[in-house]
Amino acid sequence: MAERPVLEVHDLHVTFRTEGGLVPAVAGIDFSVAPGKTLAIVGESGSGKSVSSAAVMGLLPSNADVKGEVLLDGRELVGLPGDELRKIRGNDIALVFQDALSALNPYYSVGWQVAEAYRLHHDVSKKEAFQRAVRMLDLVGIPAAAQRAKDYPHEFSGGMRQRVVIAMALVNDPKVLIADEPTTALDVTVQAQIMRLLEDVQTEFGTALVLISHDLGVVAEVADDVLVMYAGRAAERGSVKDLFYRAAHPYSLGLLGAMPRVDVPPRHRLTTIPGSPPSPGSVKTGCPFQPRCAYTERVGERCITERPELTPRPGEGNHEAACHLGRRPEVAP
Amino acid sequence: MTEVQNDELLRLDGVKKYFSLGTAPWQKSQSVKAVDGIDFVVRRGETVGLVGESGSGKSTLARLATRLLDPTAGKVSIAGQDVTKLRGRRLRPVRRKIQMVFQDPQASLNPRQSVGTILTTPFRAQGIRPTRAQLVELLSQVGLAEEHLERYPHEFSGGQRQRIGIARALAVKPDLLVCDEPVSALDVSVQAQVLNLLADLKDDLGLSYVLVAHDLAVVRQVADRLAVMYLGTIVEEGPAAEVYSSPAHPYTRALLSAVPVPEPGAIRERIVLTGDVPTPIDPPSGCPFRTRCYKAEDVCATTRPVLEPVAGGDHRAACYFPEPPAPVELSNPPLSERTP
Repeated sequence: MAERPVLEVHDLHVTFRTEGGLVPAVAGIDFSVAPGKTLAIVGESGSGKSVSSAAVMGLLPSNADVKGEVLLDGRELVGLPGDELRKIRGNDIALVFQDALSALNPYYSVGWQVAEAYRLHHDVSKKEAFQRAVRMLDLVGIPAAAQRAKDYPHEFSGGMRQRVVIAMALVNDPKVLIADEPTTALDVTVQAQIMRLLEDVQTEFGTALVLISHDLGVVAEVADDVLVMYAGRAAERGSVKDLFYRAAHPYSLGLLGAMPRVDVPPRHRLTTIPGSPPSPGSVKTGCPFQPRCAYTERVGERCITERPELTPRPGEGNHEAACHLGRRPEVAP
Repeated sequence: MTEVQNDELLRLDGVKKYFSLGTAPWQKSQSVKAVDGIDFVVRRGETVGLVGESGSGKSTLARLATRLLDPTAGKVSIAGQDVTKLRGRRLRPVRRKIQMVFQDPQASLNPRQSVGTILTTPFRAQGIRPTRAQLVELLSQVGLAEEHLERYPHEFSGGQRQRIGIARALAVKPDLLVCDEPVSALDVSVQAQVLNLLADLKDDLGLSYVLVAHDLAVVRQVADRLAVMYLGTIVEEGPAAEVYSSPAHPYTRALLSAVPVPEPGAIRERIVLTGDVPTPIDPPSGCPFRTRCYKAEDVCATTRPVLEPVAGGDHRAACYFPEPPAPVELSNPPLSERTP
């Protein structure tokens, strides 16, 4: 039986107030992740995947309205005052960004920065905190951690910097780690090292991981569950096998078909999804994917007039897709 | 002069590019050996994939090939003509044969010029005034329409902007397009559109490509031949199908095994390399890969291995201990067998 989720998000809405009006970046998504498990949130630019994670962390700018529930171990985070949130953020729930260089302060040694993250949440001496930092740097695989801890971010390679950021995120033993495209800026051999490190950390500490990624290869490898986002909504969700072997939403299938693969000889052409992802809020009624969907003709008017809700699909349990096409679409229409 | 075959569009002989670092007078002068002795040939009708990690010198090689950079040593020939010493105006006829498509269409298109003006520039550089019909023809080749001529780059999506970049490169009817990471800034669904467009243009116009990319899956989709770079040198090259199915160089093998495959639960033998790429300022003696290689022995540190044929034919690797020609088990069933 599945363990009780440590992070639960219900009906999350994020709306930005801009000069051009209200922009609904996330329009009602649900997800949860259990200890030691990995949830991948997949989507293209503007799908709302990064905004969702920032909303969970309470890191959105002041012009963002967040509605819905974010429960960390049953405790509501939405609407929590700043000082309360700061006690949780970086302690129970931590974030790893894509760009390690901008996540680190160039003026301080990496050991100091990791130690600072620890001292914010623990009443310890600077020396003790630094020792803890060195242990974490060692744990994430930085060679000669005791000496390297005194070095500055620019003295590390991209992969090593990402390790430092992961060490900083893990220094307080968080229950949930949110990793927003953690390997996108890295070379593929280094990516393999970092993904292995994250897996080791999960096995050892039982950390729940929310992985935000556009790389379906990485997702297939590490995720237990997947949420596919499109235009601020959930297009499909289910186990990783549901998505890769029983994809029910035309968008998910389109993504799988559009992805070139390294492991099989090339097919003649990649299947494509016409057009490009919509800007948030531009689709007012009906299915947001409808203008690019190859199946809309078979369903007819409903795709334009009626917003599809997530409905159960055959699979390993909680497989759901938001599509009026009841049966599964075929490949390559 | 050596005899040059007709179908060689591009030939690099022993090309090197060292960027000198600004060092103070009392310091020993240093240079980044970005490209360190490369022979490279592209034949008519061929798509050559050039892969490697950051700092491998693949983009520098692309810029040397298009003569955007001057080589420190070696010779660059385009369509049989030695163009190494050509400068300025005298390069213009060469530029008609070889054009470049850049990674970031946002940065490579002038935001203050309309698409029409952007597409007119390459014609004018050749002393031609294009007709509107010619511009529309260019746009239609890349899947855009006449109505787009008056618009500005910010009015387009990333994929459309890359199409404009490709149209601009096609204006002078080149034989060879050098594409530096043409799809890495694009979303997956849009990336596939651009890759298919490149394939269509090849069929319709008989183009040849050098495709520089870090994404081995993207390159596999389109390349006929593959060259793998590491620290300024080519460590393996050959027919793409062969290099992908039985890589001979330990680096190629490790690189391919590191690419994640969209098969949940697939069990793969992964060679995880330790450490980082050494600095190109002071590359290791002998084989540049030896410091991270799982097969390295003493001989690797003494002399640099040269590209030598493996298993006969066109497939060559620069390694003293190449892998036997056996296919790598990469994964389970292909995508086509998965969906109903």
